[in-house]
Amino acid sequence: MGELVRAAGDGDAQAWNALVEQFSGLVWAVVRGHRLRDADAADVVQTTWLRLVEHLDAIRDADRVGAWLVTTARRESLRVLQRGSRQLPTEDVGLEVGDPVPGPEALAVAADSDRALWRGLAQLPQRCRTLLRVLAADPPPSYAAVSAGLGLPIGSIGPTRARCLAQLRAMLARSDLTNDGGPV
Amino acid sequence: MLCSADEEVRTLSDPDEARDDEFIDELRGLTARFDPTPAWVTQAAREAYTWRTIDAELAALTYDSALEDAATSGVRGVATGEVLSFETAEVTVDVEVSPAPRNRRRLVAQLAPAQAAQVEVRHREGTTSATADPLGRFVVDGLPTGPMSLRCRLVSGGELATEWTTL
Repeated sequence: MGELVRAAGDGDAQAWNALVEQFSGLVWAVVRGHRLRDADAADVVQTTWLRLVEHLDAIRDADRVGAWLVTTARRESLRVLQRGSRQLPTEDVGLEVGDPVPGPEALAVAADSDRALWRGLAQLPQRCRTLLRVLAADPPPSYAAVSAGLGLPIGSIGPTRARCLAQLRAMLARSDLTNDGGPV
Repeated sequence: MLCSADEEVRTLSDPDEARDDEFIDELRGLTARFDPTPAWVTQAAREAYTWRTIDAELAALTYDSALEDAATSGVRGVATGEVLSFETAEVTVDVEVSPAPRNRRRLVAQLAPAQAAQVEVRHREGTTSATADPLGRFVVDGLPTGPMSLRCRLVSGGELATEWTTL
């Protein structure tokens, strides 16, 4: 990974494209974990990559570019959120305009359980939601990148993940009890 | 089982951990179906490389009033007069961002120490030119929201580019 950063810093566009390929899903996971709506998520993603372009020569540890991208995307997401004009209040739960909404085809063939899981993920507190989106990114990030990027001690990722997943399971169990479970 | 810093060795000796691993894999599949990274977002990331400037000094974002406001009062609201500061070792660029009609943005900026400069605002729709007067002041109106960077060619001969920021 350090080689790709150095090559991109030296003007190698193919190395840059390889970096994008590797980390595009991870950066998207960070901004969507913060419930930025489509246009704002896209803006923050692009700002993040544009910043990396300017910092290629300055990244101290080239092997930590994943962590750098997560940190930058997280900070920029928080900046945009703090201005308050781009996201619905977090008191609103459920699938609001700001939450990623599956396309009509994906919804049509989705099982009830998938939709319930998606809704549960959206309703988690932000830190859990972001952690789970990041861990579920494709390709999976290293725990080192997650730790440095989200500011979590590396030893706490496993236990925090367990707590967040337990919260998600509890939510799903509660929604099972309130649904009549009939077919859609 | 010892783990190196970057690799996580999954061991099935902990059934809870294995169950959590599977749940994450399930979320990975769900996310791939319901909210994959749009292709055009990835394409924009590739194209970001063309904005690389090798000859300008980077002015880092050192202050954002929106974060100050949030820290002190916790109030959220539509940004009016948000102030951003960018710094190199020698020059500061203070920028006041305010809303403009049709969801655009207006920048009122000041270079310090005061000096004239040719300014190029880089943004989602291309570039917009402006000129800083001898007092270092310039105004740019009608900018689209999204990523923005100011490139300033100082009359003294130096050149700086502000860290990309989301308007």
